[in-house]
Amino acid sequence: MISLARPVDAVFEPTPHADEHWWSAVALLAVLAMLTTAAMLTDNRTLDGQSLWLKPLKFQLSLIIHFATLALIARLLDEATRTGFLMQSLVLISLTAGLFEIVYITIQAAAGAHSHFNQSTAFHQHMYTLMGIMAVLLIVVPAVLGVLIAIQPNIAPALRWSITIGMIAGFAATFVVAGYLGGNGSHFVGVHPPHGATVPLFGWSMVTGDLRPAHFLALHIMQNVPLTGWLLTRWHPNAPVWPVVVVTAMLLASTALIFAQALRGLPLTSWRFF
Amino acid sequence: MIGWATLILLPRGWVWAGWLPRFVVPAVLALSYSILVLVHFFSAEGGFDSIDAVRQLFASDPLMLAGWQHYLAFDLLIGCWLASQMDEANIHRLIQAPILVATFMLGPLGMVIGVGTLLLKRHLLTPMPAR
Repeated sequence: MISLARPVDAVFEPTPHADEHWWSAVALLAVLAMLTTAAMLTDNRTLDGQSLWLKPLKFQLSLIIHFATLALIARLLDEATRTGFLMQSLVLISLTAGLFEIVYITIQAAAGAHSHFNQSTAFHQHMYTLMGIMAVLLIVVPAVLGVLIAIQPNIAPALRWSITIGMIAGFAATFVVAGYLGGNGSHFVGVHPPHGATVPLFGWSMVTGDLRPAHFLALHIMQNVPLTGWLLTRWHPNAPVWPVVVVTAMLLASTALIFAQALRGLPLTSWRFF
Repeated sequence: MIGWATLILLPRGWVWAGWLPRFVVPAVLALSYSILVLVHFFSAEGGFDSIDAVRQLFASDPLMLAGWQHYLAFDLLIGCWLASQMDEANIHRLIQAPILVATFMLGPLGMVIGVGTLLLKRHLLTPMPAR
């Protein structure tokens, strides 16, 4: 197995399917998530009242879901599109962006420092700007993939439109919510006290407005809507498209509601509709 | 640094460049280590039987340098092995890069991440059936 004398390029052949690299990234992120969990269990350092490993863990798990979704969708493309230049570019762009975010977020966490909203030095300011650019690239890629799916032949209508609509709606909603969140200076609206109650695992405030639940909901429209289409298609290959539209509208409405709630400084646990 | 830069950045097709991290750099480091150890190790205080003994051993600058060369050489060899395994598993160079940088800076951490990624990719993800 271990042969140092063998030229390393002897068995290397470029993959015909660029989307395979999304699975490689999933493998890498899964290992990182396991290590991060182990670190979280051993390390009692905290940042803003939470284990400082919680944030990298959430981002690692989220990107696993993100890349796995993209890789599964890529299998629906015809061979020419799937092996084409555009797909290779999409994969490389999203890998660059995703790895950049994860490496920076994980190292900053390990050092006990903030990654987002960190304005402490010129370096951290530039990195925060870069993170914003990379995050936009991360959500643009699925939107482009959604458009590619729309013009593909031979995909069941409910599945096809759930992917196209879900990716574009997820992109738009995330762009608005995360764009506002990024410019807000903090994920809180109002003041979250040092030991205030939070939602388990997610760490969202139960005391004051928190913009992250809306970001979460918006981003995962990219999974929830295509999942709806997939289930519909499993139920019947020619299932109608309207349930997909209804689910998308409902998810967008709840995102808007939770976003508005946070903007008024209200936590998830206290509702006021007017 | 030259060895790692070659391993991480240069095309794998350049077989001659591949000799640098795999043979030349580790060989130079190993030779230099060997001489340092032969000259200084057997007359040094301390040993490997407790943390205090190790600390005492590395109070000697030549032995500290030798120790440094030891892990530079071995980390680079592990990096080369990981790179060749990852090439075989068709793991993109973009994904290899952070794993190799981690191996360079924090050897065993990079190795754990690299071997874990390889295992997962090979056994869970690669045999995806065609649609």
